[in-house]
Amino acid sequence: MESVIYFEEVSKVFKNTVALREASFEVPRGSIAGLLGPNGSGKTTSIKLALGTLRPSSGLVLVRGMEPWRDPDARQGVGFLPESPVYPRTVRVSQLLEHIAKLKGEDWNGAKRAASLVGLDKLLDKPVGSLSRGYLQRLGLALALVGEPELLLLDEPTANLDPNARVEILRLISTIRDMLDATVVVSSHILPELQEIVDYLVIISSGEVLDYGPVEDLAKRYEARMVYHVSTRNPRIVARSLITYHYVEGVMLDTGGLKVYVKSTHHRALEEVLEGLAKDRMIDGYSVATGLLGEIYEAVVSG
Amino acid sequence: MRRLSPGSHLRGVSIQAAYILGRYTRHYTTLVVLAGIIYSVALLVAVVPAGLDILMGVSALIMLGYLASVIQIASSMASELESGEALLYLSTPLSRLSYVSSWLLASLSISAGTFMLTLVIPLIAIDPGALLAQKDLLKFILAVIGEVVYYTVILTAVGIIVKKRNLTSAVGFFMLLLGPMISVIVFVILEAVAGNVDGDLVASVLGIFHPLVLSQFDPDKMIGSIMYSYTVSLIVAGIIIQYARRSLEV
Repeated sequence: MESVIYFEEVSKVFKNTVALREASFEVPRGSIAGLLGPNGSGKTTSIKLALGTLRPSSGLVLVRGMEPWRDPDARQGVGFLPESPVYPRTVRVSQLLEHIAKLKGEDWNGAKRAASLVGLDKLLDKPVGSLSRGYLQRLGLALALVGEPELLLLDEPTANLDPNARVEILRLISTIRDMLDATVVVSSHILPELQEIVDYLVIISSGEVLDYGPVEDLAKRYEARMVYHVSTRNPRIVARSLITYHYVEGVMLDTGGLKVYVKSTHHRALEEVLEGLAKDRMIDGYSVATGLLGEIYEAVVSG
Repeated sequence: MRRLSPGSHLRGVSIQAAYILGRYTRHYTTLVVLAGIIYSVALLVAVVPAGLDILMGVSALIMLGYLASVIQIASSMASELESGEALLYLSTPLSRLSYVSSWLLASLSISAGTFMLTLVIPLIAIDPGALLAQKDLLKFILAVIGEVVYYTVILTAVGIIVKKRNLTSAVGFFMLLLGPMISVIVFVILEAVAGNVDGDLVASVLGIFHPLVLSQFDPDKMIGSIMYSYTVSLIVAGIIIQYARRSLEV
């Protein structure tokens, strides 16, 4: 699959601090990639290198096939939400959106579309300084969405938000991804947040990329539990049948069916059972929702 | 390395510079109108014998006000880089070169532009012929604007390189206000201790801070003062642009 972001042996050194050490990874087009690692692990540095606002000390960074440090055109079609955005407080929301739209080669309609996508259309005349933290984050998302980017870089998008705003922003990210069909890179150190939205992982620790790939592959590789979503109109009967298998580690009722937890070493056995249930018309279908990020992360970090 | 077309650079510069100017226009319009009125009144009273002193005093005060505004603009830019607001603009296809050029353009428009509006327009309005007839006056205006450009470019360079609002302001205050005073004090002390000090040497030292001073010591050096301020400005602007292209990280 074509890579939107490609890092080859990239290092970044700030004075005496190595922020990123010979990092190599790629993010395929169309994925929602989680950039996972503790604070200070090099997530923000990686995002800024991809954005071209930092120069790599060595190695090759390609975004949409271009080197972003050398070629500002690489940022055309890229939306970015920084971890702690700083906005001019005295300008109106509409002025800022319009300005960023102009810089991206868009007109006012493009800015208005982005504002309505995140529910900011009623606050366009307000000064930026009067917005609450949740709405400032929405503004950040709107600015990132101007021009309907094909790549969204979101650096800790829920940092400093209260739980309600957090849930709203995560829901927005999923919706936006579906609407725009964009590749999304979300950095975070909060695993449960990423669990629901990512299908690809890049795991960073102390400036080193430990592993990367589709969540499903990583779950299998590191024998983490996998979560299947089973569509059925008879959830209770199917659940009762599934929990009799020793490798099924849990079954939960979910919207439109069930969530089934299974060790990745037994995913084939479960899939055979699910195929049988589908033949008997007990279930309408199934899909791998994701692997459990916490278990994958633990396994990757512990080597 | 792929190079952007001059057209896309110019487009970025014009959009960003217009945005910066838009943000500061309201403050500076008030300043220009107020200063313009005061200066026009001073020009009108200059016809009476004591009026010339008033005009000189008012001119000096206005000059000081504009020099303070130069510090304010440069420190605003440094603040944008320090706080991370610059990331908002540089995460778009705007190049580093265009970003820095737009600040230079906006700063020069604000400092030299407002200065022209305040001091030159009233002169033209009151006596249109006087300005063109008096070549010395024209040269003087050119020298004063050169000095404003000189400060603007140097402080912009300081702001971009140190990326610290307070440090940029401190350098500005030293360079614009304290530097010349310290130079004079050193000159007075030197003269008291060592006797007669070479006037050219003193003028050259003061000229680092105030290029215009060169011509105050010797009116024949007006052209030299103009050339010095514009040449240094051009060189420093070149350095800023190279720095932005190669090393400006946010």
